[in-house]
Amino acid sequence: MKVSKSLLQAIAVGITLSATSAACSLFKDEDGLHLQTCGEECDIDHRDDGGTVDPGYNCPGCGMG
Amino acid sequence: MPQPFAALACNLDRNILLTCLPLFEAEKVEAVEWSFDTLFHFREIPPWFTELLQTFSQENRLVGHGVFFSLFSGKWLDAQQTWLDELKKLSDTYRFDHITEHFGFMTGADFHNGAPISLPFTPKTLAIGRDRLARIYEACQCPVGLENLAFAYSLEEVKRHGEFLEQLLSPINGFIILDLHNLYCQLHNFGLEFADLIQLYPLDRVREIHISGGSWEDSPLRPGKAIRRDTHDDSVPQEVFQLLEQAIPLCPNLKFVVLEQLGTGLDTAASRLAFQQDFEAMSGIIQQSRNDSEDPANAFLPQARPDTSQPPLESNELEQQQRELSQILETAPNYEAAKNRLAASDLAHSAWNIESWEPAMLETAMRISQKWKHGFPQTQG
Repeated sequence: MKVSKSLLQAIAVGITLSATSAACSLFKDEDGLHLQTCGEECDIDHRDDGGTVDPGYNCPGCGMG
Repeated sequence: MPQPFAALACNLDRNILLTCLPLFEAEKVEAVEWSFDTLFHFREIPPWFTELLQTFSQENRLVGHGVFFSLFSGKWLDAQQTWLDELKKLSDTYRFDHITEHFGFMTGADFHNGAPISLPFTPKTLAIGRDRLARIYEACQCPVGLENLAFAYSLEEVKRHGEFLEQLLSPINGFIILDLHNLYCQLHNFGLEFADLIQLYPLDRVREIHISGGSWEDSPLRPGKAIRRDTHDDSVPQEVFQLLEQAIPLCPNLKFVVLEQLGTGLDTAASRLAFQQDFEAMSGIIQQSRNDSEDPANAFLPQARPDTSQPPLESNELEQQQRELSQILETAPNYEAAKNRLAASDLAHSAWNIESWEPAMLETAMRISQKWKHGFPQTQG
């Protein structure tokens, strides 16, 4: 299936940024990574301390065997 | 377009995206499977990832694959209701061609920890499973399916799995994800032939096939014959491609074939190239199997809207047994300790039939549970 060139470029940039930043995340950088349980005032970047022991973005899919 | 579609398990994982990008550029990816619930915890995801999902969604080529619902938990959990609420919201945003989950229950006390483990096939568990599947359908309003489990405690359980899936799915006219690597694990671990095992599955219910790789693990309880595990951290064995060639013609309602691998197994250029080659091999097999028929005859939608007006079914006895089992699997230091603790538990001489469990498979269940009890490792960067 066709994926637009502009989208492919955006993905490539997103991957590259995540590789060069100190943070282990593909999330936007502006105000850190927050969880749904965080309040609006939360200023902790949860990608640094994990926020939980298990940030779920490294998707397991299945593979839990 | 002729079916089945060649699909990738694509999630918000740097290694996976890095690996898949050349395949997207070459327009070889015909559909995407997304494990939507792994992002429930997060308030926002990159706009380019949502755009990628929308691209496939708009063409009815996006399928959702849940990981954390824990279908057979004896007690209805708040987290399960939250999961359904989130799925309903996502289903308003994306047009999922179908939604799937895993057979089993999660061993972890915390909803997002643990691994799916099997359970007795009884009228009670059947009723709970049917109740949960109806609620998933109610949330997503599209076909709902279940994946066969790789892990089994005994040969008897392996032989009954397909029949139990049929009983679970028939009220909602649901479908099966036939995970061929999971079957491959069972063929090896229980000394079965594919022709014998595959006939025990209702193959007209297969709408999706998974292929992936895994790993071997030695067991002192079974010297000379390693246990095959569905770890998704290596390329696809040639034997699994052969299973794919044999399985496709047997599944008249097949729509998607999905290649899966964890990002942790795609951290080198060589492993990424191997994944891309696996995808090419999978696509080649699919193309050879294609005919010009239209959509599969079974749309896998229920004939009548399932009744979910009653409170969710629960079983205190099942919940207590699951808690005991999880605790033993996660904390027992070795097989003997686990065996002794199980013999003294509520599971002894019950429908769990622990007395017939293969020693090496109990040990494997311990390893799986202890591997995942803290959730998924952070590996990106």
